[in-house]
Amino acid sequence: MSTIERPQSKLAAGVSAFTGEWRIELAMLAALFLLCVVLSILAPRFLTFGNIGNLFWQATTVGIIAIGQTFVILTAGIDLSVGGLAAISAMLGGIFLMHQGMGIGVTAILLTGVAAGLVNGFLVAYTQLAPFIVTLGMMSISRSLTYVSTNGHSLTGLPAAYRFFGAAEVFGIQFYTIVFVGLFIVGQVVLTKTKLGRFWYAIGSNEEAARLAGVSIRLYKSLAYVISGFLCAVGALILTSRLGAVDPDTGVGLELETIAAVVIGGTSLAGGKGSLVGTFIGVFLITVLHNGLNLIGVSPFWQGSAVGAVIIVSVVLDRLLRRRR
Amino acid sequence: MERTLLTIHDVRKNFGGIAALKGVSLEVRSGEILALVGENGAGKSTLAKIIAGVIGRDSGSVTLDGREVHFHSTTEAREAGVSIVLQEFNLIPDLSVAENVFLMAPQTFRAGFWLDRRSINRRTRDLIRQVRIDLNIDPTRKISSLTVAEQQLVEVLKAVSVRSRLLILDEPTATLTTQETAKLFALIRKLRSDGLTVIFVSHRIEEVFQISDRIVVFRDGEKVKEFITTETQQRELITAMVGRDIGSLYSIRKRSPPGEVVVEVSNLCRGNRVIDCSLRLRRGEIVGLSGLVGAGRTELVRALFGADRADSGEVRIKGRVGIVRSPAESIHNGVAMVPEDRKNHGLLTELPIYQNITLSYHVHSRGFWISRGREMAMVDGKVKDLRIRIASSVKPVVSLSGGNQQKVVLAKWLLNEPDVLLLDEPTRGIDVGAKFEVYTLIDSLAARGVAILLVSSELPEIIALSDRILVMKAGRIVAEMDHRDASEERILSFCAQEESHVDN
Repeated sequence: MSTIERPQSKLAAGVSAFTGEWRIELAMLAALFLLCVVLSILAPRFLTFGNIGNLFWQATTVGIIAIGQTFVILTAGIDLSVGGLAAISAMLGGIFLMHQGMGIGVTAILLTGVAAGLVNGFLVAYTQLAPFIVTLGMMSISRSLTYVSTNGHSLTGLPAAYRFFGAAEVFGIQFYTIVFVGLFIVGQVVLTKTKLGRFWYAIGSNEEAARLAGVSIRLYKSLAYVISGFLCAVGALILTSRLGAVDPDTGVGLELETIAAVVIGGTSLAGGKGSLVGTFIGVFLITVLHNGLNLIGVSPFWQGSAVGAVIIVSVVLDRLLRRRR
Repeated sequence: MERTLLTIHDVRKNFGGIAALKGVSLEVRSGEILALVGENGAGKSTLAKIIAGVIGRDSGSVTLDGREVHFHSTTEAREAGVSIVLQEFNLIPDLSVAENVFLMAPQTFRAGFWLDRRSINRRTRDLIRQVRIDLNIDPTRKISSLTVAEQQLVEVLKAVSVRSRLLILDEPTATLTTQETAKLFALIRKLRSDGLTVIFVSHRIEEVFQISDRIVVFRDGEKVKEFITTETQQRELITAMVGRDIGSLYSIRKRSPPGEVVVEVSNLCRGNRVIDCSLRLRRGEIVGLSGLVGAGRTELVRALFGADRADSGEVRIKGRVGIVRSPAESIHNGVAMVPEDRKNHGLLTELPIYQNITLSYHVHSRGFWISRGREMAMVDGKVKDLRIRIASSVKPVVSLSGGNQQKVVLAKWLLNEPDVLLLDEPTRGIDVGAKFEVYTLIDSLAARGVAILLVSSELPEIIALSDRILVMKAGRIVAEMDHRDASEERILSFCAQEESHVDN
């Protein structure tokens, strides 16, 4: 249809462009705000400093890993191996940590994540295998290797210095919170201000058109998986540092939690649409829901239903908002 | 005069505040072929879709056989005898022809449950015989194995199978070759002689004159004029469509002697669609590549660009020799390609206009960061240069008309300032006004020294724009001629042997 520009003041045009571009994120933010208001009425303890600190801790690991998940999903892929990758990097790295010291141990954690992400990226980008299949396989392999490496036992007695990542504070703010928020900001800047982000959106929107425009599909696709693997390791590092031990069951279910956060945040599983701002809100929506329901005293058995309902409702809402053009 | 089958009175439709139809009234007479013409965005397709229940109307009335109707779906419309064949076919690719034709029909299932393949195959064969289609379609073939023209025929068969009284065809010829179009027209005439009324939506003026009895012209959501086809000149119709006299569409090209050779292709081969093709492109020269659909023109262009890798042969560009391995390599060598399939190969339809325009520039340019200010300045420059009509460049491309979408594709490549431009059907599915602008642009690019390879199925277009014309047939370049020696008959004589030969 021919579009006719309606006369508008510059400010009004700016505001309408902003609300247009961030419509879904704003709607989710409103929902999150509403949820917080309701919870703070039902549970007076919800809005205390202590509990807000809890919220940030509970959001950290899933949030950091959801960043990589968002990148992968934007390219129209999916990473089901995030939980397994978190476990294997913490476990292998943890073994180095015990025997070789901090520097090598932490490097080993991060490198394991990158290496596993590289395997995902290579298989997805250089063979015609579906991301779902590749990462489903890697999910199983990485979990199994985690069990193999310690014969199914937890790794305890990590060096005391390792607790730094989970315990350090900077100006009274938890170090991990700074990493968590910082990574989101960096990620969002990468998405909007760099070629990397631009090409991810392009690939997710129409891979063939992007290829014909000269975009190196293989390079940028594999990068998304590599970064996802790296962020799995970062998430696992912070989690195990705080817990002081590596459980072979670390990160079980993370794939579904991160995908849920990404989807609630308005990112399309078909690729090409979404943002990290949305994922950030999605992570907190789930975290707040769990936290709040606990405070009110709702049985954990019921909480899955609540999260499930939020996922479905948010996707319906997303669709309604997008239809209105 | 025949009786009135359908009356449309003061129909209005808005899409998000933009008026697509501003109160349209018209009558369709029983047994006629009525053409709805207009530029893209004029409202003709919107009206067609409202009549057939694809979309609803905001106000106004549609009266079929004296009874006001308000179809909520195409199924409802079909039950009342109104069928539509949309540009995007409504077929299930993995099912057979017969299964698609009788998808929801009660006779498809024995005892209301068991799929009765034998019965529907037989019925489909009967239908094909009944409409005397000379294309031989086996009812058991999967839709995905059919050509676009054959799929369209399946859509028409669906309409015939439910004994429609009114058949609406929305831009049915947009993806057909001249031969396929002729076959479709023969079928339409046959169906009319059986009593069917046809609404034919198109922006191709030549075709409207061939097929229609009456013509209704739309512009900016309004009906501007009605014509009796036999009493009308093409010129009058174009003027009514565009709203101004655009002069002769085909006299835009100002030729000058071409410069040195920039691309030399020798013995390029790919599969059985590109066989031993050699050609040269010179600076400032437009070389037309003609031939039937399936002759290998698109495949040759894609192999030349690196979209598909050639099996053998060589391409010489800027001193580099060998086959082209990827589009990225071509872009590096200053080559650009506007693909035939705009929606699937040319655009990121859901992404904003500006991201589409700068996509290839970012591939080409150095650095990692994208500066919003510089990017927008580049986008605005190209939008102005190419006169792309948009409200805002942050809107998704899908919101634009075909002509403006094509200009976005062109803008994307022109930002790289290519030396060589490969254009595959650059004016397909765009309206007369936009066509005029695209021709002017192509001419000015050639004047600036760009070497252009132009693939087109529209012979007048290729003759009017090219300096030299190559004709392809069955994967080979079979003729080369100067534009002064070119005529539609001469080109066709090289490419128009038995088409069935090429199809198989």
